[in-house]
Amino acid sequence: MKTTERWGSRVGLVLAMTGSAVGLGNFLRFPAQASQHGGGAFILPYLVSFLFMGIPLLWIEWAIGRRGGQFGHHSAPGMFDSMGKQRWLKYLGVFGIFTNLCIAAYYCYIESWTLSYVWHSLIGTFRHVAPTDFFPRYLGMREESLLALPHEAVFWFILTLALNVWILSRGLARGIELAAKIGMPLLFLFGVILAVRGLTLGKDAPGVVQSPLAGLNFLWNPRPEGLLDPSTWLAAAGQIFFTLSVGLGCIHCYASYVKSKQDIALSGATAGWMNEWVEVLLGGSILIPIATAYLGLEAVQSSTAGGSGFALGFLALPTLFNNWGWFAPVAGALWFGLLFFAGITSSLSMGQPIMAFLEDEYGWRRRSAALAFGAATFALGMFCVWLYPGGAFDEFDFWTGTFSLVVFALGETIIFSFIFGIDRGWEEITRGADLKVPRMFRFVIKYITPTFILVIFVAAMIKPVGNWGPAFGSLFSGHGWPLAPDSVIGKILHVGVDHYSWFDENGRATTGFVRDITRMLLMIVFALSGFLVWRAWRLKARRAS
Amino acid sequence: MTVAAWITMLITWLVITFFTARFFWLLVRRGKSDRSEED
Repeated sequence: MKTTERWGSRVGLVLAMTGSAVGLGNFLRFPAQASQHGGGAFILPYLVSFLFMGIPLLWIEWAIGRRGGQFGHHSAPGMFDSMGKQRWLKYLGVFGIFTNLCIAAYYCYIESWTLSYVWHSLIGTFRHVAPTDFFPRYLGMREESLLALPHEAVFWFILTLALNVWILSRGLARGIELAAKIGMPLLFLFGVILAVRGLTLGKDAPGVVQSPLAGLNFLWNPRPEGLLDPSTWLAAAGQIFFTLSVGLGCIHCYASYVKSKQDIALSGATAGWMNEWVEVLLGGSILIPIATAYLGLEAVQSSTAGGSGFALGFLALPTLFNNWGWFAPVAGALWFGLLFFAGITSSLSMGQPIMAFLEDEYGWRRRSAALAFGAATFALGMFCVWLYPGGAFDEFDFWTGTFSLVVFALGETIIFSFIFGIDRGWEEITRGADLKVPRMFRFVIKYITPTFILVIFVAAMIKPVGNWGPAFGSLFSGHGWPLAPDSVIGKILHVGVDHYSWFDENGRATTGFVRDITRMLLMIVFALSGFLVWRAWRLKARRAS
Repeated sequence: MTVAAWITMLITWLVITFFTARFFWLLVRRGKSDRSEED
């Protein structure tokens, strides 16, 4: 059953694309990364990466997607299959199924936290309970236990999933597009209100220990030495990569519902720049300035040292809002509502490619496909919920939300330029364009973008402890490469884990056990996704013969 | 805030706002002309 769905309008499409890109990372990860890596100096590599990797990658994915749609394919396997004669091409598209499903599983769980925090902000929970106590209790974490079964968190998780499934089952224009048309303006509005309120906090306001501008200064004061540090460039390129929702298969899917001669160059660029606007202007003006005002710069620096703003966003901000009197519950609801809208517009974009695969390749109806997505996401998500204290959640995040994206993006840029061919690729990007795409981007797409992603890939594989300069110093002085525990090879080899074993001396399972069974589960899901692709093509071949 | 921080922030904000607004405006205008062509 071939779908004939279309977007209702171009603005709706771009808002949906922007919603897919704008996620929790825009508000939590960007400010932490920027402040950790050179402050204002971070922004130059960040914008360079956006121009030479982000925008070209967006155009590549839009082009692959729109072309796939012409062949009746709205998910990655079919799109890649139609790009060349090689039979293995469709198997790169397995990433577009696997990654979306696995990320949706844990991402919807985070999304459900934001929804429940909206509720708890409104009923004033954080006036009585510190979020640092509330959060582990909410997740059902107990001392020395690797398991959790939190009833309230599961309730919100199911509610969030049901909402996603319901919106997805309504279709493209009446579901996803409508959600983006409602969610994105509200997100802008909530963000602007919080940014203005936070930045106008006076030094004499209750609880304020420092001007919020000190936080902005920390974020924007250029530290030029950062420009010479490879870590800054890698962090900036990594942030651009992860903020744009590239390497997932979502953009391909959304673009596949665009008509063959309709513009993608302007639409792609607009979605990319809108994401940057939200990330840099809004994302950079809420978390750090408000936290600085109430906690002081030193505390903010230490809590963002790991490059994540999660601790500030979920554990500190709800308490800090209590200083805002009657506005506190509203501020909490605005902050977590903003994160919820950022989250749901992204999770919807993860569901659509999986549904499109089932509809296109197996002839499923939309509602059945939406329910199947919900059921699979629930099953995998519950694994993360249940084994959250044991580290299952982090494993999902690392292997699907980081590693798989880079592998997929690297593969697609190479296929686009060297198998499909840059001539055809360029024609695909510029056909019907409402924007004159500078010709230098042809060279950039062919050589610079894959190089950028390759560098990110290699860097993720062998990331050292600390900075790169001293790591090379250590290598050349014969002390070996100081592999970081969160590098890909470090993860595989369990670097940094003392006495790695599955069970402790009392016979109880360890986090090493949980991490390894999570990896096995992910490999099984990947293999099953590959099997579904293989079977779909086998059925097609039988029908054709 | 230091002058350098102000300058870096304002230039970045201006560049991003300029391109976002320009492209979005173009998109809205093109969207309207697309619809009138279809009509």
